[in-house]
Amino acid sequence: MKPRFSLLIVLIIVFVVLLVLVLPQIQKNTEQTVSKVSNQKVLELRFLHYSAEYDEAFKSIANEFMKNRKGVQVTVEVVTTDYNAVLKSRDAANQLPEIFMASTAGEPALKAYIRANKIQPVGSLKVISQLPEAIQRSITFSDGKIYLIPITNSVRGIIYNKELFEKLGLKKPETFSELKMVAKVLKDNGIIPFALAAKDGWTLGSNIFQVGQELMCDRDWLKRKWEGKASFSENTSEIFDFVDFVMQNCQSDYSNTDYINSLSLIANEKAAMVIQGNFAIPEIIKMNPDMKKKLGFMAIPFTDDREKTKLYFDTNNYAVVNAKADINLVDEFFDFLINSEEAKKLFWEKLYPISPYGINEENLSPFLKEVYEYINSNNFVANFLYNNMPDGMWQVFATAMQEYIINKAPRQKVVKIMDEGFDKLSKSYSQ
Amino acid sequence: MSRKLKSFIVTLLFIGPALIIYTIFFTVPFLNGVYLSLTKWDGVTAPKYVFLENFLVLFHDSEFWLSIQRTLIVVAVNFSLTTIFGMLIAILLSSDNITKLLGRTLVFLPNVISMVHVGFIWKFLLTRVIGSTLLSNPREVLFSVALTLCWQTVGYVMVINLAALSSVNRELVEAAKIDGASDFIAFLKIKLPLMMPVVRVGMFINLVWGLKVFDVVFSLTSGGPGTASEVVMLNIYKEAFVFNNFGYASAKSVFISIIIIILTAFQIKLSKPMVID
Repeated sequence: MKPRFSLLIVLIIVFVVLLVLVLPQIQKNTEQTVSKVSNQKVLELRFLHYSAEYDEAFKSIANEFMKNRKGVQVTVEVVTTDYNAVLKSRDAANQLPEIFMASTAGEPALKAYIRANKIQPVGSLKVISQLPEAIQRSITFSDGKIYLIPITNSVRGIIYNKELFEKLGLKKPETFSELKMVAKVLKDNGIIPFALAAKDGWTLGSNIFQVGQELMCDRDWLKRKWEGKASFSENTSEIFDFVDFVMQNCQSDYSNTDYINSLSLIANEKAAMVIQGNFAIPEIIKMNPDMKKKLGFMAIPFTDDREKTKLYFDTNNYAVVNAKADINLVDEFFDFLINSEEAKKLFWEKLYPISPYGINEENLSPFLKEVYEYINSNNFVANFLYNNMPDGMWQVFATAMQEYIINKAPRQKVVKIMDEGFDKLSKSYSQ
Repeated sequence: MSRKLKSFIVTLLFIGPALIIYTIFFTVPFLNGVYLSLTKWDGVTAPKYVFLENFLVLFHDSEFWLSIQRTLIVVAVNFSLTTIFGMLIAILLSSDNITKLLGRTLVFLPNVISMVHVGFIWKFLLTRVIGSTLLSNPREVLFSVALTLCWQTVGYVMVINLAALSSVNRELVEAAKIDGASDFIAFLKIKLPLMMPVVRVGMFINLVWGLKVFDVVFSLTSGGPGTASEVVMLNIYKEAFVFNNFGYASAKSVFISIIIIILTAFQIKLSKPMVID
């Protein structure tokens, strides 16, 4: 037995050594062959994103783009769950797509990619020159370069049943006290004021806490946070009060309700309001087409200070470009995606996204009109704090808020989870 | 060609293919993981060597130990239920008539479904069909994870137990019955001790599966609500893919691997008498 066992050990060691030596070479050769073949025949553009609601449109636009371009292959892929994990795995496997959505559209989240020369500046792209100056400024990083290509913006607030409000003589609330009154009237008339999807943590973290924090905290707070001198406990008690109020005025099984179920409560007119982004609206209309005329959109009144009732303007579909990608083809593709007639029909006029490139106010649906009223009157706040937090904070917010809402954790514990999450995430940037 | 050389070549030919696959898919990634556990790596830039720092941090990481605690609850519930029901079902379905064959197939069926699908099936059943709040209740969620895991693994344990049952010498059982032993006593005193070496293998496999559980939890609860069902593998996953600490996550993986290796060595040691017999 013994000599055979030794033989086995020797064999294992020989194989391991051989493979460690040979595998990188095989991988290198394969990559070279693939790139040679692709250089000769096909110019490939892989586009990875996370928006399920836009995926069909992106794929159709890619097909239209390829129609008159021989030798160009555009592949659109959507990853709706754990997008960041998939992206990191692709990167580790040296398979970073040519275009991919930034999971957080800010400098801290992209720092590592820039440091490793894995993404390239996009300031020379035609679509970037079309952007309003304010947006161009907001996406210019500390090295003076632009790495992000905005595709759509979204807004977060309260989607409400406007027709129902009018029927009950209710006005759009602008303060927390007014919102309380509205909820009381709705309740008295047998209507659930809020649909709450506590089962999906992101609906709590991204739509409530993240929005509330942007309105309550200033930029100095974030600066101090990065220096380790601030906490999420500062200026956030009003957000928790608001959450308590929503919990008292929503459907009873909120901890078992997911995103889609919460939207169906609005579509079936059982609930009057849901705290969501505008991206949820096509889903509600799909469930009940009559809702297209009935839906409205408003800012969340967290406090009684009207100045703090502002629409939250989100940069959630911003793309970045792999350093190895053909920038001319990327330029052409984005020009097609933003400006072509095909894209207008398939995307812009069909799915009601909010365009950072300007709007045609003639074709606006009622809820988008309300959204643009906020934007045009400068009554909105952009997601500066979140974009300048470390990547992955949305998941920390989601977990912490679920701890508060479902697991009934005390507020101190919830902010501790957030503080620890921030510290942990920020450490990976200081490597 | 000498006999020794011939024997060497034959050995190589037999174990070569499996060895290559094992080396590529297990040994190399494991060694790579061990290397990464000694580094700080964000998954994008180059890893930075930090020696044992990650392991020192690990011992003070309360979230990690909490996740181990949760895993042990899942393992304990799943292990007990699967062992008991795996044996009971094996006894009930041990003879070879068509109904029992069908029964065995039905019990084993969940085992061929991927863990991810099992998670989704039970998520759908519990929330949409039954309308239960098990998955949203932090005190009950670990039990629903364990029950789902049990539903999937009990068929596998049953098959192992069936094999063990069929290997028991019938003459011994019959002799015991002639001596006046009841069915229950014959099972307890004759069958079970003879089955134990094989049953033990099934128990250890089940134990290790429980420790490594990830996909079922990921698709069933994603670790929620909050962190109520965040088992150790999910904690490692979050460490890597949410917090971007790939080096530290590798250290946690290596730590868990060491525990599993110790358990496996223990199992091999316990199984030795069976090999000799």
